[in-house]
Amino acid sequence: MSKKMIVLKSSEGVSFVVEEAVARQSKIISFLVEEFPDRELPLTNMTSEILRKTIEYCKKHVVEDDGGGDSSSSSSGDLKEWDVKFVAEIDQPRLMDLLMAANYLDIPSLLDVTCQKVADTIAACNDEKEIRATFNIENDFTEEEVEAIRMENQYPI
Amino acid sequence: MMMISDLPNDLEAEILSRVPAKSLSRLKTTCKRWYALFREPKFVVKNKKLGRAVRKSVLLTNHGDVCLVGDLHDTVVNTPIEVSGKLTSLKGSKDFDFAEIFHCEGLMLCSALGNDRLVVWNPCTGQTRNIKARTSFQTNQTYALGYSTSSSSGHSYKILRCFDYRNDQEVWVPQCEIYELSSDSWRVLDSFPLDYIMFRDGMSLKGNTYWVAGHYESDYFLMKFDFSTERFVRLPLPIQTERFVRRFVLSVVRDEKTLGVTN
Repeated sequence: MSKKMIVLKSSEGVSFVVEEAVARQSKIISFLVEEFPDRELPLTNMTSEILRKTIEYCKKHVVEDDGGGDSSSSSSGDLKEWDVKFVAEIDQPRLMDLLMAANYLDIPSLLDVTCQKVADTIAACNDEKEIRATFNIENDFTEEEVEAIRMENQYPI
Repeated sequence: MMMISDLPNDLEAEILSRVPAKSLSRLKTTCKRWYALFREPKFVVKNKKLGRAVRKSVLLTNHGDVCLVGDLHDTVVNTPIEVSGKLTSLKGSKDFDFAEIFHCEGLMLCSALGNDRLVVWNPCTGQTRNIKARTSFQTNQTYALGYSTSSSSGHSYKILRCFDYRNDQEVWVPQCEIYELSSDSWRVLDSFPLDYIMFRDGMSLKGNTYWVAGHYESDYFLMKFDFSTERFVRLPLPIQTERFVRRFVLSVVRDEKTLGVTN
C-alpha cells in the first residue's frame, strides 16, 4: 500500500510533497487535511528554508504505525541527541523563524526544543548589556530607573 | 529579521520561563517588558517548573560547611552528589562556626556559634549579607527569618531574635528583638509572655514562624510568631500527648501551604 502524500507550499510558491503521517505532527495540518482532503496547503508565512527545516524535524520525529502498534523511528535517547544537534546548527534569526513556525503549525515538541535553545543562549549571557547586543533589544530604562530597581528591597539579597 | 522582541508576548514568556531563575535576576533590567514579566505570579510559577532552579538542596556538614547540592530526588544510589554552591564568600569565614540555619522562602539565615554574627545567604544568587546582633551572644538564643506583607511594598523581611539575659537585679529575663533588613536596624519588641520553652527549630510558612512549645515538658502547644503584627500567637496541637515533646517534628507540606506535625 502506498503512503498517502500531501503537498505543502511555501511563501515562495515552492511545493513540498510530504507523507501525511509526517505532516500530521502539526496539529493544524492534521486538522486541515481532515477538513480539506486532496488539496495542497499554502503556508504563505513560511519561507522554503524554514518549511524544509520543519519537515526535516517532523520526518525524524514521525511515529510509524507498522500495524503492530506505534514504534518510533529512533530511540528517545538518540532523538534527544539529534534535537540538540538540529537546533545547534541553526543561527539565531532562523531559530526564531523556526520557533514561530512551530508555534504557528502547533508542533509542541519542536516549540519546546527551539524555546529551550533560545533560553540556553539567554542564560549564557553574563549581563543585560550582552543580552541586548545578542538579541538586539532596546534599552528603555534610564540610569536612574536601573539604580532604583537595584535598591529595591522586595527580596533582601 | 525576526528578533526576540518581535515575538508575540506569550512566546517570549514561554522562552524566558525556561531560563534558570539565577540568570533571570541578573537580566531583569534588560528592558521594561522583561522586568514586568519576571514579577508576574503566573510567570514565576511556570519558571519554577521549567527553569530548573528549584531542584537544589542545602547540606550542613559536620565541619560547619554549608553547601548547595544538586537534585537529591534525581540522585541514584552510588552517584556522587554534585556540590554546586558553597557559602565561602564570607569575609573571615574561617571563624564562622555555624550554630543554626533557618530557612525562609529560599533564603538561609545562618547564625554563628558563640558570637553575635549573622549571615543571610541567598544560595540561588550566591549573595550574602552580614548582620551584627544588637548585643553579644546570650543564653537560649534563637533566630527566625520571616516577612510581613503589604500590598504597597510587597514582602518586607525581618529577623526575630529571642534570648534570655541577666538584668541589673541579676535575674534572668527573656527578650525579643526585631531586625528589619530594609532599614538595617534592630529594635526591642515590648510586652510578650515568654514563660515557656520553644522546642526544636522553628519552621517558616507564608512568612510566619512556628515552633512546638511547652511549659517545661508539659502543656505542649504550637507557637506562631506573626511577622506582620509582631506578636506571638498560641495554637493548639492537633494531638494531645504527655509523651516527650522532642519527638514532635514540624514540616511544611503540600507545596508549602500546610504545616504538618508528626509525633
